[in-house]
Amino acid sequence: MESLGPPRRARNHGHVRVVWGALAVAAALVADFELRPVAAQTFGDDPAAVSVRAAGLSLELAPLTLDQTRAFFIGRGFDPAAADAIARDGCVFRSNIGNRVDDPAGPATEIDLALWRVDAGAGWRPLRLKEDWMRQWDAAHPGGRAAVAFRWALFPTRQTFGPGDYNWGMITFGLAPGTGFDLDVRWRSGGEAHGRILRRLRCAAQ
Amino acid sequence: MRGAMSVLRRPARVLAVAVIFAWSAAAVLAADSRPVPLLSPMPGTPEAPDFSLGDLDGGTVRLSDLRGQVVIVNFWATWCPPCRFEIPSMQRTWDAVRGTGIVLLAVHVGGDEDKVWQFATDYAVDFPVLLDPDSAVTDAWPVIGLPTTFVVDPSGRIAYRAIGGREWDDPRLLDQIKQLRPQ
Repeated sequence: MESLGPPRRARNHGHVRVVWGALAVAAALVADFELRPVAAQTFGDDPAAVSVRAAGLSLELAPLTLDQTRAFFIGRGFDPAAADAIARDGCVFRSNIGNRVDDPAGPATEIDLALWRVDAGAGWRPLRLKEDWMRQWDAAHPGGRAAVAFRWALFPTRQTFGPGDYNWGMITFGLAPGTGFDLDVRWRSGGEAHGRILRRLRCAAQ
Repeated sequence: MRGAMSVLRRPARVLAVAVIFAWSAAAVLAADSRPVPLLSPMPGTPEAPDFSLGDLDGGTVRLSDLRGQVVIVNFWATWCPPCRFEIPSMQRTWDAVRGTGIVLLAVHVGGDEDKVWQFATDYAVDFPVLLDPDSAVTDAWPVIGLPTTFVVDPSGRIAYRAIGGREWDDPRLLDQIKQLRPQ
């Protein structure tokens, strides 16, 4: 019966090949975790959401419905008309942006939303930033806890993240409800500039 | 025949063991490759801006009164998802370190005292929760987004910073904090 198998030496080499093959598979799996290609993909149960993990950046974006936006700001002290204006004019997305590099001593990730651009078919233009909203409201003399909540709820225009750092916040693209658009995302990792264009995002229609 | 089956099964066993090993190695290495969200050293270790804020029990806490202890100062808000995420681990940390020269203060940014009180009740928080209704204290600290947490050393300087939530009872993170205590 022993003759049914290859010579012992050859069998052992076969086992070695199998083990090394499996180790190669493991290495490929690990490499995939480390070097996963840049991709925007749907996550969670929100089909309109995208996530990106590339070159020191971790990014998740998902549109908020108009009712979600209204409810948040009314709950923070905004009057209904002001909350409705944010919902209708803002194209509000929730975002989770950070530095998810694997090395705790790794490079910082720098975000500047003033460098991001949206294109809804009429050319690239800037986002509607926190500062734009605050200027509008400064003129109308709003204030109190509503202003405080708004200032901290929107994603900071500029922020630097160390390894493991991240921040959540709302980002407003300043588009009409239901508008489809491309987003040019910019960031720096360890001082090196990076950019990706996320296609076919869409503001919540209602 | 049993020998034949044994020989036939042997490569399968070797393959199975190798694949399990490979997956385990991949899992371990992948786990190790995931972010380790500890505390980042604070550039320049600036002096912590002093403050005096009211707490939920009607008292007042002044940061400078805590000089000589390590003080964790967390800036948060009830509506901030990662803030809520990290509160339970903060409570576990408080349970572990209170009375050992480490103090934990959570500064709520903005008004809504009733909501903060309700939140603290729902989450069984018993570390000091302070209220910064107009954000004046928060603005004096290098806070850009919520949550941001600083660790102040016994001399009153900011030693570490964390932007975003953390598992505060992670032993490695706790070690960073404990090592700031006077030896």
